[in-house]
Amino acid sequence: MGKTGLAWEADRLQRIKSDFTTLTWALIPVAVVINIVVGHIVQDILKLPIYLDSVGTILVAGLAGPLAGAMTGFLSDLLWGVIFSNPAIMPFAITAFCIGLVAGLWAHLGWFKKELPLVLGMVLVAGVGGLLILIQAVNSGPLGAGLALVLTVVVLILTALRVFPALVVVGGVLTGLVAAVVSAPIAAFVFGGVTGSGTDFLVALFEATGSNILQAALGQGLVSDPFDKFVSFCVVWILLRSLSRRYLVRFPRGSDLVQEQPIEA
Amino acid sequence: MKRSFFLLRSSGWHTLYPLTKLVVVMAVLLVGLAAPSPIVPLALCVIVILPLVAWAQILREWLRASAIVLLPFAISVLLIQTLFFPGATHSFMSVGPFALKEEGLFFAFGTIARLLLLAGAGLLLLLSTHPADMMHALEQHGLPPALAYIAVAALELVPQMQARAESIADAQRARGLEIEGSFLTRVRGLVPLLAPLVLSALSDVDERAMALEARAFSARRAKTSFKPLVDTKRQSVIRWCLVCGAIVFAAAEVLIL
Repeated sequence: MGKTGLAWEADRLQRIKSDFTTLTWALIPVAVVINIVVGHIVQDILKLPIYLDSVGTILVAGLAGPLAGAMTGFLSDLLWGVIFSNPAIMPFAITAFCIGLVAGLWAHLGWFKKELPLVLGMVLVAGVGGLLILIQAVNSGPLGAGLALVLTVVVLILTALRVFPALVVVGGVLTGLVAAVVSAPIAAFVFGGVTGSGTDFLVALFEATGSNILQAALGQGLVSDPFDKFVSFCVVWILLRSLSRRYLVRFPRGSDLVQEQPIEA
Repeated sequence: MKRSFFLLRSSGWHTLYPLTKLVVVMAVLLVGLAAPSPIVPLALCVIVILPLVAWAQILREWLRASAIVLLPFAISVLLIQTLFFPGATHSFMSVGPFALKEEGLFFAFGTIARLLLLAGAGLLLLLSTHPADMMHALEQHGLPPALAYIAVAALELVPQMQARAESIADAQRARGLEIEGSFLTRVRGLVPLLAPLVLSALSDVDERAMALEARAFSARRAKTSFKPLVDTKRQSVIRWCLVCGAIVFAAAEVLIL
């Protein structure tokens, strides 16, 4: 609106700068440790078949913007390598970076606070699920598509019962899709698709039915990641609901996460 | 969970400026991973990394840590690739209904060689360099201080948070929460364990921000360091040589081989 491109760019730079307050800098290391400790509890203590190592990343992406979230994810994976003395997982920092970026975008669009009408929400969730099924059907055949269908049905039921808002579910599954696409080449190049973890049996299954390593790695990622990020988004949503408005709005983008409330007289 | 796996030794390798060690490791990784043949990473591991590990006097710990990283992976990759490698035609043996595939075996060997180099070189750096020193050295060479702060602060926070997680688990168990047993029982433990941990950690953020501000965190001026690090002209020259050499080598590998 009468603004030149340059001025618009400058605005955006200003916006990014204003995301990095001292509060943001204080939040990021805490979120990095949340990623690591929560991931450790879920994988090694509760022994659940998910990673759940991006709760902190998604939180920061929501509270302080995509770039802060991306930075949190990137550093978490590097430090995970340092703390568990496993340098081999460090290349996945690129995936974590992308998770932070897209999660920040969804939060900025207000997906953590918007409530959709039930029918529209169901349609959106079904649409994302359908997309996942389609990609899996093309990439890894009936097995992948079947697993994607199971996930779709589960998230549809949870949305229909209004356990989680539709947009949180959509954001989680979409983020998982991005994560899987970014991870697959890394997993295929660095590890030959196999990472020595519990998801390897899936790689074996997809290799037996598929045509190459990259495809098998993508097939495995498309099973694990959308489910994992869906759970992560739901956990973050639960956490955001238990934090006070007063606390949330102190962060640069906290107002993206809370619903407008009429000022009471 | 330890904060880091740094081992203090009085070796010549330890007295090197952290950035020099980082450049050595990165150069070796670049040359090794750009090579199409698995012989190169394997050879680099034996000719370069192993002597450096011996020089740093961390051989035993390095072998142990490498084995922990590599063994589960190596077993998994050997099994899966020799059995299921897609598009393989030559099989050299069959066990029951499964055919062991030659291409898969070669592929697995290549992957293990690359990962051996990645883990070996990475561990050499991790075991012999204190993370705070590394961050400080990077900061002296232009890394924004705020980024260095994040890395060091996170490393300091891990043991604290770990202790808090344990006391939360104890407290919840005392109130009857089960965190072992069937799948559903463990799923039910998820939120009671995680919510208090994350919420209490987040409630500290305010105080941390104020503490940072009180110590001139957002001041633009250069800050003096508590712990001086020694860099020499010679190491700086060696670093530049290594960077250029590694790039030339890697390019040659990609273009010629």
